[in-house]
Amino acid sequence: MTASAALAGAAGAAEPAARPLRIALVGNPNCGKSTLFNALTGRRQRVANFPGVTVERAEGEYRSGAGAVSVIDLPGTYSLSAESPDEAIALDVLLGRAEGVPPLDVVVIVVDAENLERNLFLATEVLELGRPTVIALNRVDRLERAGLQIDVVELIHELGAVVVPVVATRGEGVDRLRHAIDRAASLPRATLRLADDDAAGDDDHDAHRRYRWISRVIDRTVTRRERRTQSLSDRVDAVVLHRVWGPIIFLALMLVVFQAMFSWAQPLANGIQALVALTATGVRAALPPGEFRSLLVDGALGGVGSVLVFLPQIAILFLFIGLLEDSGYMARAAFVMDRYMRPLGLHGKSFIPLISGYACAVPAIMSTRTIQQPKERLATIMVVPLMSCSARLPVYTLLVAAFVPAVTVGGLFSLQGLTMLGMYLMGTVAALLAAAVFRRTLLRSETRALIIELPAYSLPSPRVLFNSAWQRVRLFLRRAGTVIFAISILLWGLASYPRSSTASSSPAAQEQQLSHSALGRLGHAIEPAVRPLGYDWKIGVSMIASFAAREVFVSTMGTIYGVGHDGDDTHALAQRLRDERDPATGRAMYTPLIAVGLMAFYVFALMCTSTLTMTHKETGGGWQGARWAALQFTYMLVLAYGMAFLIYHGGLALGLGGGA
Amino acid sequence: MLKFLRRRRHSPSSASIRFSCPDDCPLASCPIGFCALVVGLSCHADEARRLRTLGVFEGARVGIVDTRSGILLDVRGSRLALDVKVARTIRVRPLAA
Repeated sequence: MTASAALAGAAGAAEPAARPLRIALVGNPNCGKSTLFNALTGRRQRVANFPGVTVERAEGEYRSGAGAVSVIDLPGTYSLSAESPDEAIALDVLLGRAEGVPPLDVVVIVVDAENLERNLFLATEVLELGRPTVIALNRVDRLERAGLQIDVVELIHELGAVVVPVVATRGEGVDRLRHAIDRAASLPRATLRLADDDAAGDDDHDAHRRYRWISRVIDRTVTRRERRTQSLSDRVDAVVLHRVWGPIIFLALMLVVFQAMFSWAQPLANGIQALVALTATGVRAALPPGEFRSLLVDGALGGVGSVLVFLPQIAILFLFIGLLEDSGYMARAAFVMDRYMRPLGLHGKSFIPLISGYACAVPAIMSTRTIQQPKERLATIMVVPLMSCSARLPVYTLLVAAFVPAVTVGGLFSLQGLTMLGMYLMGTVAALLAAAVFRRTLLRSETRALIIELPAYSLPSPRVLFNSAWQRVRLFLRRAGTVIFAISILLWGLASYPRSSTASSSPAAQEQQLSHSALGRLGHAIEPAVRPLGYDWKIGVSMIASFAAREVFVSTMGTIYGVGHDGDDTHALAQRLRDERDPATGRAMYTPLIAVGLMAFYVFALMCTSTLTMTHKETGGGWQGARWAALQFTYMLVLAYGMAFLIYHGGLALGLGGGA
Repeated sequence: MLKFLRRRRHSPSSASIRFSCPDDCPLASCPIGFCALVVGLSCHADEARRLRTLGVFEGARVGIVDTRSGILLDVRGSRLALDVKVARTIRVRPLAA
C-alpha cells in the first residue's frame, strides 16, 4: 500500500461517499478467520476446521463509522513462502499484485490466542511487509481453560501493531476491531524488523531465526499458569487415531452419513417429487393441451424436478461434512485413512470425496477442494463418478426387481440384495483401480507426505453449519440446475419432434411417437452399436436419454412401455420387461444376463450432465476443463461398454443367456 | 503436558532402559512420551519447508504424543500428524522422558 492509499483511507473516514476501505483477513488454517469474517460482515461464508478448506476468494462488506469497508477473506496459510497456491494468492493480494484485487488499505492478521507461538510465524512475515496492520487475537476465551495468560499491551509493544482481543464465535470485540481498522488506515506505517543477531539467511535458517525471535516474544508476553496434563482432545485422539479403532470409528461414522443420506433424505425427496407433480398437474389443468404445455410439464418441470429431487441428499451430505470438518474430526479421518489410500497414490483426504460419491458425484467433486496436491485432486475427481451414486439406484432397482429372483442365499441374504451390493462393490473396486492407474500414468507424481495439523476438537455452531450447507446447495442449484434444465428441454425437443401423424395419447401411440422422433431415430441409428451388448433400440433410446441423468432411463422405459408416465410404477414396468418378446424369435427380449450387463453398463458409464459440468468447472474450466471432462466421459464409456460386452458374451459362452 | 500419557503407556524408567538410542535417531523410532530435539531434515525440500513453517526445524523441541498409526507430535502446543515415511527422514536427539 502506498501513502496515498492510506490517505485515501483517511479521507474515506471523513467522507462516506468515498471508495470503500479495503481490508483483507489473513491467518493460519483453523484460526477462526472465516468465523471472524462472518462476524465482521454478517455475510454467510464457509468455515471449517480442516486445514486449507478456504480455497476460494470470499468477499463481504460492512459499514463502519468511517464508511463502507470491503473485506476479502484470504485462504488459510501457515506462511507466505508462496509454495502452495493458497500461499501464493495470499502473498499476491497482500503485495497488491493479485489480478482483479485492488491494493489493500489495512491487513487484519487473525491469530489464534491458544496457539500464539505457531500463529505468530505468519504474523511476523505479514508485519515485515510494512502494511498498515491490525492483529485480531482470536479465541481469548479459551485461554483460561488452557491455563494461559497473554499480556496484550506487551504484545502490542513487541509487534509494533495494534492487537485487539476478540471472540469471533460470539462476536465479542468485533466493534473494537472495526474501530481499530478504521484508525489503522490513517496511522503511520511501521515495518517490523526481527531483532536477531543472525543475519537473514536462506529459507532453512529463516524458520529457525523467526521462531527464536517469537520464542523471546512469547517469554515476555505469555504466562503459563500451570502445565496442562493431557488435554481432552488428546484423550479423544488416543481412541480416534487408534490403529484398529480409528478406521472402525471412521467407517461407522461414514455408515451413519450414508444411512442418513438414503433414509433421511427419502421423505424430503418424496415431498419435492410430490410438489413437482402437483405443479405439473396444476399447469396441465390451467393450460390447454399443446406443444407449450408439453414443453412446460414434460420438458421444464420434468428436468427441474429430476435435479431438485437430489437436493435433500446434497444438503444432508454437506451438513455432515461440515459437522465433521468444524468439529476437527475431518483432519483425523484423513490421517487415519491415509495408510489405506497411499498405495493407490491417493491422499487420506481423497477418501471423503470417494465415499460422498455414493450419494452424488456432484458434491463429491466439489469436496475434492480440500486436497492440495493438484494431481491427487485430479485423480480423485476422475474416479469419483465410478462410485455408484443414488441416481443409479432407480436403474438397479428396476432391473433387479425385473430379472433377479427374490430367493434367499445361504438362508440369510436375498439374492436381489446381494446383486445390488455387487454393483456397489464393482464400482468401488473400479474407482480404486482407476485411481491407481491414473496416478501411475497420466497423473504421475510423488504422493505428498501427510503433514497435517490436528486442530483441537470443538463444538460446531449450528448456524455456521446450516449456512455452509446452504452455500453448497445454492452452488449446486446454480451450476448443475441450469445445465440439466437446458439439456432436459433439448431432450424433450428430440423426443417430441418430428411429430408422428397419430394424435392419440395411448401407450401405443406414445411408443410410435418416440420411435418417430429424432431421439427414436437416434435409438435406431445406434442399435447396431448396442446390439453386441444384447440391447434393442428401446434400450438404446433410454440410454441416450439417460446421458443427461441416469434416472431418466426408468422414466424413458416407462414412456416406451406406456407404464406409469413418471416411472414410479416400477413393479408394472418390471412385469412388462419380463413379458417383452422378440418379434422375430418369440423368445424373451430381456434376459437376466442382459439385465446384469445393463446394470454393469450403468455402474461404469458417466451418464450425468451435472457431473460433467462439475468436472469441467473443477478441473480448470475452459479448454483444459473440457479436456478432462471429455477424458472422464470417454474412459468410463469404454469401461462400461467393455464390461457389458464381457458380461453378455461371457454369459452366453457359459450358457447363461437363455430366456424363457 | 505428556505426563498422563507417559504414566499410562511407558513408565519413564522402564522406557529409558528399553529405548537404547542415546544419540541421533529417526523421529519414527522415538517412543511415546519422549521429547526430542530436531537435528536434521532429510526429506523433500517442499516437505522440509512445510515442516519448518509448522515449527519442526533444526533445533526445535518436539514431544512424541503417539506413534501407533503415523506419528503425532506436540509442537509448541499444537498437534501435528505425520506419516511414518516422513518421520523416518527427520533425525532427532531424544531428550529425557
